[in-house]
Parts: sequence; C-alpha cells; structure tokens
Amino acid sequence: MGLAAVSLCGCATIRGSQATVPELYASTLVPVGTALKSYYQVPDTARGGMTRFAYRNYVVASYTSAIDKRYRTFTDQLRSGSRGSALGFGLLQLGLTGATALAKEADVSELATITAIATGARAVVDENVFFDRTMPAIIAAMDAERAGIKTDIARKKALSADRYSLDEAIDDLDRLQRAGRLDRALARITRAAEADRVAQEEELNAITSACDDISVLAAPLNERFRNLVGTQDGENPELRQTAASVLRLEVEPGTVPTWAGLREAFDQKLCDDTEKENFLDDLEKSQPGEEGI
Amino acid sequence: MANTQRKYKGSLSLGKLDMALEAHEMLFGTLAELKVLGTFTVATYDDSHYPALQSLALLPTIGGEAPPSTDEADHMFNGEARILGITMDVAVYRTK
Repeated sequence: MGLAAVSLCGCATIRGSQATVPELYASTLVPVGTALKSYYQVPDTARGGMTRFAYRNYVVASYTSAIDKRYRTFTDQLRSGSRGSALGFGLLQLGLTGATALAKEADVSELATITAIATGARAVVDENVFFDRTMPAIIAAMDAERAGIKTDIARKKALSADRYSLDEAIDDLDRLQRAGRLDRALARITRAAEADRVAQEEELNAITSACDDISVLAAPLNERFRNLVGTQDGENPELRQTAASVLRLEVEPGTVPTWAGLREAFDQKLCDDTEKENFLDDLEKSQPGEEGI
Repeated sequence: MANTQRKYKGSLSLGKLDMALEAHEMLFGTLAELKVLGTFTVATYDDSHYPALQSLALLPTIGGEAPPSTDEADHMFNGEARILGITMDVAVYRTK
C-alpha cells in the first residue's frame, strides 16, 4: 500500500487517457441531445436548412475535430512527461504486470487509478527504456486504433442518412474518443507482443536443434565427412549410397543422394564423436580398393 | 547456394558456442548470421563457401562496438547470442 501511495502521489495530476470532450455529451458545440432532436425533425429548416445527410456530416466533422484537438494535447502531455517522474514507473509497472487484466476495466481512465491497481510489487524498471521505447509504442498503438476508426467514419460519411444515422455516427465518435486511452493502447501492445511470441515460437520450431554437446573434435570430423562425400551433387555416387544407407536416409530409387540430404542426416543422427569417427572409418573402407563397410 | 539454420541452447558458454558453430561451418558453409530467438541462439549458414577449419572467433562487443580487426582476424559481422542464459551482442571474426 505504501508503494502504491508513493506512485499515486507522483501521478495524481496526470491522466491515464485524454480528457473527455464534454461537448460530446454536454452543450458547447451542438449538444448531442439537441443535435439528435434537430436531426429527426422533418423540415430542413430545423437544421438551419441542412439535409439530414449534411447535418450528420457537420456534427461528425465538428466533434472529430474537437476529439483530435484533445488527443493532441493529451499525447503532447505524455511525450513531455519528465524522466524520473512516477508516471514512468507507474506505466511500466502496468505494462509489465497487469496490462491484459486491466484492459478489461473499461471505465478506468485515470492513470493514478490504473497504477494503484497494478502496483503489487514494484518492478525494477529502466526509465530511459520507458521514455525512449515504451511511450512511443503506446502512442503509436493509440494512433493506429484512431486511424482505423477515422477511416471507418470517413467511409460511412459517404453513406446516405438512411444507412448511417446520426445515432450511429455518435457511437463512432464515442469509439474514436475511447481509442485515445492508455489502457486500450497497452492491451493492443500486449496482443501484438503475444502474436510476436507465437510467431517466434513457430519460427523456432521450424529450426533443427544442434546436438547438446559439440566437442572440439566435431569440426574436423565434419570436414572429413565433407571431403569424403564431396559437395557437388553426383560426386562419389557409390560412397554416397553407402552413407545414405547407413544413415537411413531415404533416397529416390535410381538417384544419387544429395550433399544437402547427407549432411542433414549426418548432423542429426550422429551426435557422438566416437560414432562419427567409426562411421567415417567404415565409409572410407567402403571406397573402391578398400575393405567393405 | 543454400542457407541452413541451426538453433543452439542459450545455456552454452561463448567458447562452447564457438566450437559448435565451427563444427557446423564444415557441413553447412560460412556462418552468415547470428541472432537470438527466445532462449536460443540461431545461426544461419551459407554454403556458397566453406571456410578453413576452426577459423571462427566470437568476441563480446564493447559498448555496442565490435573490437577492430587485427592482424590475426578479420571482423565479419555483428550479431547476438544467448550466452549462459543472457542475450548479448557479439562480434564475429575470421582468423587468418
């Protein structure tokens, strides 16, 4: 609790999301209630002579502009947060310990509140990493979500009033406003990190593991095998057939085993130096003029 | 020309990793890239050329910079490796 209180002291004046646009719910631009009332009235004169289509787009443009302005102020404030402030610690704790769970708290908007929830054990954090990397990533995540919503709104503004009503437009404006929130951005980053982890795991699974213990003898033994078999396909066909047979490498009938196939089998099936050496000794003996393998 | 990849346990020492990479260069060609994926070091080899036996050297970078080439070795590239469980930047050299 003590640590949480320390964090709270430092960030009580810094918000965890952009300040809301009161006009979206209250009364300075065109209050939403008034706008909806005007929108559904029959004569265009109730909307200053504008059709429903034009009036809807006017309301959407006005509020989009107001939300953008608030968002810019918010991100400017985030960028200018000083290194060493409790904001950095609090956010990083959130990113490290509780982003996924907290993202479901849709009503959490104050950073102080988020930090209070997230703070269990104080994580060891690097503030420079936070301001150089984490903060730009958080802002980029918010920008990306906002860009998607604004594209959607721009597309819908071309629709007739019957197909895209002012009610729906207000829902979209609300979505746009909510996109500028730290908790949503962190949830987005967490999802992206999880996707990266899955992709990395898939990439790793596709790569063959090296033998656990590779000794200093492995390099000369591998070189000896390469020199024996040759790297040019078609070289030493009989010896390659013998090697493939001992290494249980499947080869198409009537074809000569390739260097690529042989080296894979040699590397994966013979991890022990003595086994490799015995195999190479036998292979050498199988050459014409030598004893059979 | 073909590229082959191998992954190595991140618990290896720098010396053990160097030894393993040298062994695989004899089969898969010149080491072309070193990177870390998860807890593994992943090496990529290019078989358009096979280097001389045991001619690879790994050094930790100093302050993010590779120690310069010397009369004994040429700097090839920088990569990263997982050494004793820690990800570190390494410089890769070819001895003369």
